[in-house]
Amino acid sequence: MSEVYLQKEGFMPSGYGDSQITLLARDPYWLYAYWELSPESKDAFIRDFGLELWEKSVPALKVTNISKNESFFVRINDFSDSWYINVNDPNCLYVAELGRKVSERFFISIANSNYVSTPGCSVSSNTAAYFINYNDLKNGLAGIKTPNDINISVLKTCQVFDLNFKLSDMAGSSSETLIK
Amino acid sequence: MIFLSKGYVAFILHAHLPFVRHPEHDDVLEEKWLFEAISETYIPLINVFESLLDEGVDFRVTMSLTPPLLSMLSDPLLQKRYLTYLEKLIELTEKEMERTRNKPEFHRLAEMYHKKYKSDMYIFKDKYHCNLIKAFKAIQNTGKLETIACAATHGFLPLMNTSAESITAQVSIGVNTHEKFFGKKPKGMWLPECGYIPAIEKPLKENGIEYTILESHGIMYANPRPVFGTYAPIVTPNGVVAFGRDVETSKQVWSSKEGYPGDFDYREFYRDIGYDLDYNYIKDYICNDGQRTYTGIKYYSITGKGNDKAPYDPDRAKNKADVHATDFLRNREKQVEYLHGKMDRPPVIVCPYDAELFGHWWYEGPYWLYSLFKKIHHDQAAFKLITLSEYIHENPIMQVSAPCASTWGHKGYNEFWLNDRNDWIYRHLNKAAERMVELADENMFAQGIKRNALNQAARELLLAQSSDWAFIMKAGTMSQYAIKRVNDHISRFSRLYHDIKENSIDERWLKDVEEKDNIFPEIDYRVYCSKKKKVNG
Repeated sequence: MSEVYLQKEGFMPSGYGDSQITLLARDPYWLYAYWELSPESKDAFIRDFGLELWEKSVPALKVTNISKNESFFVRINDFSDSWYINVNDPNCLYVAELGRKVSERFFISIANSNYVSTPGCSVSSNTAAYFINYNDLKNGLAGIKTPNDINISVLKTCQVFDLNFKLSDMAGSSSETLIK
Repeated sequence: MIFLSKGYVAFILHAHLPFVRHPEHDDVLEEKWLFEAISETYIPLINVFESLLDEGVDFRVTMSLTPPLLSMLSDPLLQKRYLTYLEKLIELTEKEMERTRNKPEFHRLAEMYHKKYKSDMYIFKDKYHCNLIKAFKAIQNTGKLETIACAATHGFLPLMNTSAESITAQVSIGVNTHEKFFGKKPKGMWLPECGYIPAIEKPLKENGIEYTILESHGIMYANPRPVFGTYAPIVTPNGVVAFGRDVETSKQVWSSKEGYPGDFDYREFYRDIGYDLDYNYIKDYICNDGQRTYTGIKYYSITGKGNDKAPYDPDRAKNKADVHATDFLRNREKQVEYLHGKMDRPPVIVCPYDAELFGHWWYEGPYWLYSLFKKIHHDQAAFKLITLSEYIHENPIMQVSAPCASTWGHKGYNEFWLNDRNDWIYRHLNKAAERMVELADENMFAQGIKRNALNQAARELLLAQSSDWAFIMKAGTMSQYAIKRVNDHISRFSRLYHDIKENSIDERWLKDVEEKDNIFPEIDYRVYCSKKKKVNG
């Protein structure tokens, strides 16, 4: 697909002629991938691996959770150019590959995505509290204080703020909430 | 300073509209967003702040006015069109006073609107010479109002993670624009939609930003666990101070079901004479193309959940706003009292709202603010209002913690800006961003027409990146306009990209586009140079 543009307002290219996949995080459990596969990349695949392998393989995404060193496949189709991917783990780094899946163990990658992290969705289990004097930071005298007596008493009160905090308590943004 | 209060409340008002300016047409429906906001929100807020100053009320508020809004408020074409808008409303209210002369319950409202629009005309034209930024700047200079920056075109930064240069450009142009209009560097930045990812911190720091505001769970889910929840700011590993929105005060004001704005005594937004009255009577005051629109003149109160609405009673509504101000105040007293016993520092209750809530969506909102700030000053001593800079200055010992990626959108993350109604835009936005970096790197010393074209390419990219388009597409109102805007800016960018690459820039076309999309006149496209290029020179 080569890019075509016209000297006309509002014309959007249908593609840019690249073989590329991009990954975006929608929320802790969903990623969004969009991609483009150029005719040249397809030709290169066939040249390297043969037409038979192209026809026997299926288009797929290989999604890897880098943080946990786990991966899985998402079967796509030759007409799709984007996909919402359900993932199991918030707070993890992911990458995706666009390619052809020949079998469960044989995947040929054509393009690699950027890295993206899924956001967290729970209160951290790490209760080690470190404090700093912001003025020192501003003045370039930064040093992190280790927990002291104040911190110990504060850590005890930490439970007070471990409230029944749920995302559903959120009021939501501005106009979105008021639009009836 | 002698500190007698037990805690603080920080109000943050975020004033933003997307950049809408169409010199090529006479009467554009979408330009009315600005005109409505001026009459219904910005002038009323200025009146509130000025009244409080005149009455000697000590108050504090933090406010962001975004670059697109500042650009529109200072644009001579839009200023002139606002005057025309007001003249028509004044004329319409004169007709309304005549039409309702035998219906006292509506006549007094027609008189109220007539007086209001005449006052708006005086304030806008005579007092501030058509530039309301002067009013905000004057209030800022009293020390009661802290103004903070926002991203250049309110771009949704979490989904720009594939282009560090895009985030940097949005931040640095936002900071420069703020400094241009307010005469000083901002200490804080409002992240569009409170959209935060860790990658934003470095550009904030590099552009002199000390603090920002996150949605509640952006703080509550930070690592390590924030000891004080959202009641004290944290400092991120990159040295940016992050405040968190308070859940309780959000619901009380924001919620259409539980919050104050839904009270039955308040004015009903959707019963507007632009829709209610006979078409032949109202047609000259709605859009030229005959489409019915809101006029801002509304005669009914919310009344109840059904469709039967009673005439609006402004005195009753005002009394209710006083009641709600007292309610808010008492709840804050209890909240501060409770927190004070649990913390080794004064708590800060952070209350950010869209400015347009006050007056446009919630007609009585500005009066509620006025009433509340007066009550805070006169009727209690448990807490004081504070700006975020002041809080940092007085309470510099902070916990170091890494916030959680978050937004204040529906469900708390990116879904409102990334779903089946708007996901198609990102391949185009990201490609354009990639190309802008390429153009900047290849043309670091461009002059003349080429430089103009590069600067315009940067403008088109920025305008395409406004988070408003994705928001509107999802919300479903005016989505055709949003789609057209993305299409127009991407196609203009694409043409500029190819023209620059091929050294065949059409000067006449470029001039036309520069006139239409004239935001950021001082822009320097080299803000998009990659770090590698900047280091290697």
